[in-house]
Amino acid sequence: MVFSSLVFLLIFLPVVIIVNFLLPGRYRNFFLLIANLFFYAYGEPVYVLLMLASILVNYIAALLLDRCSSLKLRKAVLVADIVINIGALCFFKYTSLILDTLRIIPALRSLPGANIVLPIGISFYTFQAVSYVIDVYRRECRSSKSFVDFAAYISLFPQLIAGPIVRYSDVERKLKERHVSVEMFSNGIKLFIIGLAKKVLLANKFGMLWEQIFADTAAYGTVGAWIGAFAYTLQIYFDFAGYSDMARGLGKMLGFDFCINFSYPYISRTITEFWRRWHISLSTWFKDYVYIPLGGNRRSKGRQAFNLLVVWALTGLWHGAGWNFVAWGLYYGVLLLAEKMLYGKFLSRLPKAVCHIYTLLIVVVGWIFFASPTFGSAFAYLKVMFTPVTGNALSLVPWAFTFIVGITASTPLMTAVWGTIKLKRKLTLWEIALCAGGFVLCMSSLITESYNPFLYFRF
Amino acid sequence: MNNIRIRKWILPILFMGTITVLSLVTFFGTHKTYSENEKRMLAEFPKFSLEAVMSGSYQKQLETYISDHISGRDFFVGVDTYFSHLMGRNALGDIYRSDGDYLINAPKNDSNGHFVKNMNNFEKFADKIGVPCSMIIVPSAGYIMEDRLPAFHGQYNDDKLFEKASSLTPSVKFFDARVPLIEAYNAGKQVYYRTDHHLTSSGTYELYKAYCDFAEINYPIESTYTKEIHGGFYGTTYSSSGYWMTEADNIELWDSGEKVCVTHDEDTKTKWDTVFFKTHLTKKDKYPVFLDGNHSYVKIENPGVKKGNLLIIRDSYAQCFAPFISHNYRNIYMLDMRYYRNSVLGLVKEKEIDEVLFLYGIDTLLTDSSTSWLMF
Repeated sequence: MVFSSLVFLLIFLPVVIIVNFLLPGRYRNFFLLIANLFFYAYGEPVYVLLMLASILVNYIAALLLDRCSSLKLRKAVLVADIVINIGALCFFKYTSLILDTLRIIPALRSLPGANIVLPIGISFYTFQAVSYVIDVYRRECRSSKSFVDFAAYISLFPQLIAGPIVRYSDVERKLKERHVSVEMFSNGIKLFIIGLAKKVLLANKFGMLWEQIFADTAAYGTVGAWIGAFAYTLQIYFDFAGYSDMARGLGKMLGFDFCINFSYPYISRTITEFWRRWHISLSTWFKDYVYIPLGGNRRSKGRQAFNLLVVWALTGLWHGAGWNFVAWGLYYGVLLLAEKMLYGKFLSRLPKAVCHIYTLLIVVVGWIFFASPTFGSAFAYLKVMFTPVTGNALSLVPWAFTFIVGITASTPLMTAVWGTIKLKRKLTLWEIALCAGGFVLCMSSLITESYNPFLYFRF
Repeated sequence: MNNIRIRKWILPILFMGTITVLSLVTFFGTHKTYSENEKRMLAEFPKFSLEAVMSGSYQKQLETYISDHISGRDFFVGVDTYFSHLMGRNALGDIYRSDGDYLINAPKNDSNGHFVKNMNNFEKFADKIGVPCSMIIVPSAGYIMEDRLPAFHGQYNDDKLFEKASSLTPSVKFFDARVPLIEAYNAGKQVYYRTDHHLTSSGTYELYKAYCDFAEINYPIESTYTKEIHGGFYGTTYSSSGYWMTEADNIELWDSGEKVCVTHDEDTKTKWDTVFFKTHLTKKDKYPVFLDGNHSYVKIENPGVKKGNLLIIRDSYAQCFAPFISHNYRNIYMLDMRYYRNSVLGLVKEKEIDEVLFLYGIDTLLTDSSTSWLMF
C-alpha cells in the first residue's frame, strides 16, 4: 500500500489511528504489528512471509548475541546473521543482474534468466534488521525480549517501504511506552500533509514532464533536455523527501519520533554537504556499518580512498540492481574523494554562487545516470544536454510556474519566512487553513488521476 | 488560554473527521452505477477472491472503485482542474480553457496512422462501388478559433491533414470545409459550441450552404427555418474538462418545416416523424436531440423530394448536418462505422445508392479506423 492512495487515506489510516487510540497501551504494539503486516501484505501478499522470516531470524540472532558471552560464538552468530540477511537481499534483488552480467562471458551465454520480482522495501527492512543485530553485537543496545515489539519495529508501516532507516536504539523507548499529545498529533498531521503535497502536487507532476521529455528528448532540444533533467531532479527529491515527511508525520500520529531524512539537499555548496543532507539515514548507515568498520579514515590515505569507493559502489548498488547505479555511486565516490583530498579547500574559497552551480550541475548530471535504464540512453540524453540541439522547448513554457513553486519548495525559504512571521503572531488558524487546502488539493489530484471519461461507452 | 486550548484540537478533529466521514459516506452512502456527467459506467465493487488479491488486481479495482464513488467527486475533479489552470498549466491539458468561455479539445496526434488508413479505406470503397463520392472533414475547433487558445498550446495539423486527405482520395470529390467555417467565424458567428466539440446549428448550416454550392444543389435560405432555442446545454467537452464553472450553451433546433420520417433500424419497425428527439432536451447533454444520438444505422426519408438516395458514412457531426441535407434527397442512409457491422457494399446495392458522402470530424479520423469495415 502506498500513502498516496485512496485506500490508505480513507480506509487504512482512519481505522489504524482510531483503533490505536481506543486500545489500552499494552495492546497497541500487537495491533500495530497486525496493521503493519496488513499494510505490507496488501501490496506484497506473498513476500510478507519473507519479511516475517527475516524478522524471526534477526530476533533469534539478537537474543543469542545477548545471552552468549563467548566471543567466538558471538562472532559466528553475527556473521551467520549478516550472511543470511545480505544473502536474501542479494538473491531477491541482484540475481537478475548477476545472471545478466555472467551471460556476457561466452561460455555462460546459455544461463537462464531469473524472473524474480523485487519485494518492496526489502532493502530498507534488511538494513534496519542488520543495524539492530550489529548494535546488539557491539553491546550498544539490548536485544528485544518481546517478539511482538521487535516485529512491530522492523515492519513499522510508516517507514517500511521507503525509510527513513530507523535504528532500534532510537525507538526502543517508544516501543515500550509512548504518549501522543494533541500537539504532537497535530504536528504529525501537518508533516503528513506537507509530505503528501510534495509527492502528489509536485513529484507526480514533475515525473510526468520528465517522462514526456525523456521519451523524445531530441524533439525538445538542448533547452528542453535541461528542463527535463531539472524536472527529474525535483521529482526524485519531492518523491523521496515527501515520503519521508509522510513517514515522520504518521510516526508522530502514532507516538514515534523518526529522524529527519532530507534537509534541503539542493542548497548544498559541496558534494560532501549534499550527501549530509540527502537520505541522511542511509548515509549514516553506510558510515556506521561499512565505512568505519573498514577502517574509515584512520589508516592510510590509500586505504581511506579504497574504503570510500567501496562504500559508494555499495550505496549505488543499494539504490538499484543495475550497473548504471554502481556507476552513479562511484561517480559520487570519486567526487567526494576529490573534494576530501584535492580541491575541497580551494572550493571553500570560491564565491558561494560558483559552489552552488558546481554542486547542482554534478547532482543533475548524476540523476541522468540514475534515471536512465541503460548507459546508452543516459549518454544519449547527456549528448542532447551538452551539444546544441534545436527543438520545441517553447511548448514547455506553461510549466514555468510549477518550476518556480518546486524550486522554492526545495529551499528553506518558505519555512524561514513562515518561522519569522510565527515569532510575532500565532498562525494556528492559517496553518489549519493551509493544511486543509493542501489536503483537498492532494485528494483532488489523486481522484482526478483516474478521471478518464469514456464518452461513447453506452453503445 | 482557553482559546489556545480549543484551537489545538481543531486540526486533529478536522483531519480525522474529514477522512472518517468521507470514508463512511463513500462506502455506506447511496451509489450510482452510471455517471451522467462523465457519460460512463462507474466501477463496480470488486469481487473478492484469493487470486485477485494475490495478483493485485483486487487492490487496483478497489482504488478505482473509491475514486469513482467518492462523495464529492465532481468537486474534487473541479478543484484539481482549476488548480492546474491557476498553476498556468492550461495549455498542457487535453482541453484548453479558451477566450470567451470556450472549452476546446487539444489537437489529437495520429500515432497509429489512423488518418491515412481511413483515407485509403474511403478511396478503395469509392473505387469499388463506382458511385459518385464526396467528402467533408470538419476541422478541429482549435484550428478555426486559434485566436482564442491559450499561449503555447499544441499545434493543430489540420492544413497538412486536409492536403493529405485530398491527395490520397482521387476518386472522391473533396470539399474543403475550412473555407466556409473560417468565413463564418470571422463574420462573428458562433460556429462551434463552447462546451462541446460539435458545430452549432448555425455553423452546420454555413457548412451545408457552402457544400450545396460545391455540389451544385439548391438549399433553403436561412429565414425558411423556424428556430427553437434551448439553454442549459453542457456538451461532452465540458463533461471531460472539469471546468464546471463554464456557462451553459444554447442549442438551436432549425426546422425547415418539411415532413420527414426517421428510422433507426433496418427492419423499420419504429418510425418517427421528426429529426428532433426532444426528450434529450431535459438532460445536460442535449446534442443527441439530433436524430437521437449515435445510432449505427439511421434512415431519413423525405417524401417531399422525388428521388435521390444518399449514403452518409459518418460520425456524430452528421447528426446535425443530415437534417439539413434531407432537403435534397428522397432517402438518406447514415452509417456509423464504429458500430455498423452489416455489409455496406450490400447496402449500396440493395438501397440503390446514387451518391455517397463521407462526413467526419477530424478527431475521429485521427483516433479511429473502423472505416476498414466498409469493404466487408
